[in-house]
Amino acid sequence: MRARTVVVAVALAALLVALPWLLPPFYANLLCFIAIYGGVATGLILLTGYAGLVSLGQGAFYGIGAYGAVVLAGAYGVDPWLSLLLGTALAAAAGYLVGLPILRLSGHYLALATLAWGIVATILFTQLASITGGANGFTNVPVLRVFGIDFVDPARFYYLTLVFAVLAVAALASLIRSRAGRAVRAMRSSEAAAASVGMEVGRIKLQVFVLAAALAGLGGALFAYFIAFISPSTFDLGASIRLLTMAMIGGAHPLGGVVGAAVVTLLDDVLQNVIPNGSGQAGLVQVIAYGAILVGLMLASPRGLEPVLGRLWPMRFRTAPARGGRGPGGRGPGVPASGGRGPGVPASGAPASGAPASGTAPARALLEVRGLGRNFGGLQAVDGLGFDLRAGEILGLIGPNGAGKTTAFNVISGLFPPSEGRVLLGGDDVTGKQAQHMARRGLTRTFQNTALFDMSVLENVMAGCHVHTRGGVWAGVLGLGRADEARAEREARRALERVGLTELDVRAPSLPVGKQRLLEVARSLAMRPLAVLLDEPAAGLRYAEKRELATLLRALRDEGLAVLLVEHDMDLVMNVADRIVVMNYGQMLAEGAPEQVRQDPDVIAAYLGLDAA
Amino acid sequence: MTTGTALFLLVTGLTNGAIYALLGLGLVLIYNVTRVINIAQGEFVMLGALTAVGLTTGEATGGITLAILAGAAWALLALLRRRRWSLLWLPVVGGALLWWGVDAIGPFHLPPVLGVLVATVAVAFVGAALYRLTIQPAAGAGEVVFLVITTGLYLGLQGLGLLFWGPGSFSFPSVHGGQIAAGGVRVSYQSLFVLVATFAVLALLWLFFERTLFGKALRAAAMNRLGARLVGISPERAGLVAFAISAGISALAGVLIAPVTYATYDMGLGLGLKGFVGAVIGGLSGYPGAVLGGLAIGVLEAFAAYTTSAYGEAIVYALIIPILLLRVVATRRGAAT
Repeated sequence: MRARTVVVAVALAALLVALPWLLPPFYANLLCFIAIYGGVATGLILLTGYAGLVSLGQGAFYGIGAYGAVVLAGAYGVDPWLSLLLGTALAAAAGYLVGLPILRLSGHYLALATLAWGIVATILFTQLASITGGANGFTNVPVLRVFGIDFVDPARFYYLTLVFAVLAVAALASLIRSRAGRAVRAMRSSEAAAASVGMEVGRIKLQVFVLAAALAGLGGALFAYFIAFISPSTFDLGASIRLLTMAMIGGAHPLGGVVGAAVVTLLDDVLQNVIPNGSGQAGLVQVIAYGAILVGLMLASPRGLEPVLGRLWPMRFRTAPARGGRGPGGRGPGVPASGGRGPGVPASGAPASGAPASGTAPARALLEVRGLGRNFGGLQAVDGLGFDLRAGEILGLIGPNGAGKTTAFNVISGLFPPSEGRVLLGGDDVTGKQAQHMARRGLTRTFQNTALFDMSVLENVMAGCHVHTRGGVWAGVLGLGRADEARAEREARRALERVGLTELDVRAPSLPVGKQRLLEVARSLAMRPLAVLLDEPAAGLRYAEKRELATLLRALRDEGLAVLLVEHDMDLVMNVADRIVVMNYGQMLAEGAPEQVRQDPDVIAAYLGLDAA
Repeated sequence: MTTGTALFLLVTGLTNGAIYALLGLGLVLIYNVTRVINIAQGEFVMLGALTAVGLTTGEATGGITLAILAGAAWALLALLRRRRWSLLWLPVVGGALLWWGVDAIGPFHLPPVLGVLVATVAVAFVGAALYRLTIQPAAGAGEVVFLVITTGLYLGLQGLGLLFWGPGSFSFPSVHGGQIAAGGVRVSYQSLFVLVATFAVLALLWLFFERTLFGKALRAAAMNRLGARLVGISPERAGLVAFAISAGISALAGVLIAPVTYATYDMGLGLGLKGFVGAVIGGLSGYPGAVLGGLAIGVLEAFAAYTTSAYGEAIVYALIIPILLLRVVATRRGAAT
């Protein structure tokens, strides 16, 4: 199997190198274009295909790279190779500056913001005529030369573009299978869930955006040297749409960009040759054909050619079986849910560390909720909620439907800020902190309607290891952090074992509901949290499964984990909870031991509808 | 800047703004009912303007041709779905005959009012057909997919515009050539007419949504697709009607603007985007908001173009980003308080 992969790779490499000799000279031009567009579209695949962020302004970054490189080299006499890099850096910087504000938008708002950015950039290319040459274009483009070999002949320039395309594809293939790539794919499925396992959604989006902009910039710079003439119309909205078309045709696969670029470029060529030239309608029919192909493709296969490419080169989102290697940190295999020994321990949160082991009551609760309130317009969903959650304790939060339990969960876990009141974690005020900060401090949650990532069961749990493994986007691109990945996989397997899930390679959304809930619990445990908030974990479980869940919860408590449990199954709650808080109409109705709460007349009234009136 | 200049810019801005407002209305209508952001909205303007020109001055009548083609494709799709194989020839032959017939009768020199009417109806029909052929089959797909689909429609329609009418620019006769002097500034009757027509469309939409059962059904489908289906309202039909009305309004906008600015095959995208900016300022769900937003964009553009001629366009487009950001912040705060 491995040998075959090597043979295929070598043959493919040989073919790519030999292509200019195998094809008629005319095709060298096309090959260069395919490779350049392919590299740029690969960045767009990452952005659109994997991260779900649509850019209709990629042509702007492409243009910034092109203008940056040739203006520096042509007008300021900077070394052409250095200019190539500077142009790329300029595009990346533009990506950062543009991405910083607009990535707060999502969906089609984001797409329209990038569209606007693309149009503004084109206008600037035209209007800043003293630098860019304006609408007439920029012609003074020097030649790229190394050791006396100059890259002018397309058959030679091809190798430059080939290196670019191969590097782009390799970077994407490496990135999406890394820890950071998993985060990219995770946040696409559910930003809330990604934040709940401590992923810094905003930062990851920005990094991905910058990376795509840098690839566009490098491609643009290469294009400019290749054509030796650039003008604003090369980088207008049409260019952005072309690039997006390539990405959509290719689909979410590392090869998608290059394949999409090849399809579009060859299609252009065919259309130009088929339509009689001279009538001036070649470009016209091309545009109409683009439109028709875009629409047709989206209707026929919204995923583009990804299903085909995925069969040719399957993306196995798993590390090799653990070889017993140890993480670089030398931490050794960590035990999931080891009661707060993970890196998630709040630095100043002394009470959390040794308390459960000592057996005495901790001086201070792990989680303190004080006078918490949250309103939606006129609706006061939570009002004056206050309780303590200690390490090594299961606290049940119950109440009739609409009592505000899930809202309380959302506020405590940082999904949205409270209207009033405070939340303290390990003694630190964390009121209004976002979910990813809560997760990094050791507090995580599950979701009432399960929010799993669209990836395998094992990967979902590996995503839970995000906070205590390392490796950002750049490490992912370079293929670093394999040891961390192996460790994450081992911990994920162990966490799955604890909850009793064995379907490691099944896609999470296709699991039955009950197992999805267990998977969410496993994902939370993989975080090595100090506290978990479980939102109806037993809903959809069968009787035997519920009993196993109860056993698991007790075991977790005994290890020192703090568990806040929202559950409608009274048998389960009364059985496992040490204390119970009852909510009704957003307010606290009662608090105490299970048997105490069970006999509270107010609670009985709330549940059975025997109103005092 | 003198008061006279300022007033002149204000009137120019309001006239253009009224067109953005009409586009904004169309965009909001489609967005509310189908959750599609229609990148190709401006192309309906182009089709409307150029078709009306063609029907009255003897130029090409592309909108009619397109309506015939789209209708034939629609019928073909319907027959295929019902597996009526033996009837498949009907739309093909019928379409060809119609096309040939229109070609044989033309070129047309209809009176302007009739030309406008026919063009508006034809474009509304094209809008409905495009919904049926390209939007409805993708129902349930992500918003990105629709964005790409309507981008494809924009490309295709603009290309067809160039194919039908070429790169030239066309004018359309004004309703009334004169001007009136008001407060030291001359206002053309056309400008007044554009503004009046915009508010008339807004009023008609209001009547439609508030006073007719079908309008209410459309609103219901916009609010909750499943709920609407449960009470017997078809979201597909609602989407179809939304596209038809929206395309019709946009075509009308094209006819209104053609005497003021020239009509060209590539006039659509810019108008559509500005209409979108206006609609977003107005909240992207309210019709009066879209109108006010469109007018605001028009005025802003006029003043920006006067003060910084080269960057006027850039400023208007660059505004999209902060406006979108403000809206997001506003909606988040709205949820919080």
